[in-house]
Amino acid sequence: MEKIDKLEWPTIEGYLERLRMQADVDITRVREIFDLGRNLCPEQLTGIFISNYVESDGKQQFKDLWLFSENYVIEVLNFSKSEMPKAEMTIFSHNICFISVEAKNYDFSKTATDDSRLHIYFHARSLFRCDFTAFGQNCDTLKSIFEKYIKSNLARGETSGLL
Amino acid sequence: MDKPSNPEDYIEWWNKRSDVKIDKAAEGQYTYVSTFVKYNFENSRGWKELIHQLHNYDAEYQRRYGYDLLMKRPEDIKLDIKEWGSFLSKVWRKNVVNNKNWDKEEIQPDGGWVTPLNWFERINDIVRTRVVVKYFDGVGLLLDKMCDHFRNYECECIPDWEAREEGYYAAHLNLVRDYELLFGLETKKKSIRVEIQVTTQMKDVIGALTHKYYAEKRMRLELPEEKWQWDYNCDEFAPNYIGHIVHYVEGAIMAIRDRGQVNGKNR
Repeated sequence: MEKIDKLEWPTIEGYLERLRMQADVDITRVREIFDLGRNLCPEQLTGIFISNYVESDGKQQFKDLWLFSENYVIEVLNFSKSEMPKAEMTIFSHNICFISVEAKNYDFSKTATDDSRLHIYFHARSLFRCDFTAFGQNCDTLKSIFEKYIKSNLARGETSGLL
Repeated sequence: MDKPSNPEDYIEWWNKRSDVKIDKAAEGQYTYVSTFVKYNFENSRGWKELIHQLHNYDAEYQRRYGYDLLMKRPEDIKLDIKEWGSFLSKVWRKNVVNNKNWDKEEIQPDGGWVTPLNWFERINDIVRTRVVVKYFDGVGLLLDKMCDHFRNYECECIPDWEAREEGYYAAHLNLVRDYELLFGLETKKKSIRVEIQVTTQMKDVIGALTHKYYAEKRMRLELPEEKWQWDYNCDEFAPNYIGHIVHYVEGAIMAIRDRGQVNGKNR
């Protein structure tokens, strides 16, 4: 596996800026989850993804947050709207048995545009599932998450028929 | 065909016959939608302003009758999300237990199946709260005032008065609004209800005591043949009549209180 850099707060801040996340309450929540994830994960964190979408009036909504390490993923659903966000962690390396990808106005070989949309879903043999949605430039981040963490972890095993 | 006898069997039965599965993905979607609706509703102007208005209603009732209207500070009234397990149990009851067509050729219940495609619109109380008033008359008064209030905030208000043979009395206000929600790649607008139950202090206490009994009763597939009114030993007899008696006593208390008002005596 390629070497992945350790995830630090300034990198996340840069990502939040690109996402145009402005509400202090959301940024504080991301920081809290990042700190929790660092303590929870047995490995060093290397990646983050926040799902976003846009309503018909153009208002952006943030939905779920994931933190990745080489072998683990931590998921916090509805991270900004839950009163008490719940973090769930699983091992996903060589454990993914199903992936679904849907794209609209998005070409995997090009940079995302403002109206690009990408939806990726996977589930692991442990029944853990992740449902990622990205809008606009965030599609490129999701593509990179897909390349780094998801695609390479499709498992060979009893369910795949490739032992 | 045998009825699935509990929510777990129902999920298995449903997933064999439908492409719209009840699975972890459906649970994730439920968590997202219920959290989104709760967050948006409790941050809406209508709800925030209601908390303020409840103080006014309370003060107005105090001035008029010399008693408190509410049993709690309005700030302590919180919205709750129905748990996934209770939600599925309600879906099972609507599709199976209360389905009068189950033994017919076309087993679909009247009004159609409740499915993951429509259940956010069909189940009333995925987000709900309860407001407890002191006296019987507070129920109607508060329901009317809240209806008037929410009509100013682009909410459809549907009051619902329940009075069942089993001694269950309840008043609900359903507040319907459109919420734009993400499904896959697209957003869709769904009309979803938030339910405010208004009850009295006495019914609230009795409700807490008999809740376990009613929850168990709702899980039964078949009703006993003998009428519960004639079987004083059956599980229904005491709680059902307590429900009726409490309702009657509360009405009688009102009559006494009103007579006191006429005679110029408060408290």
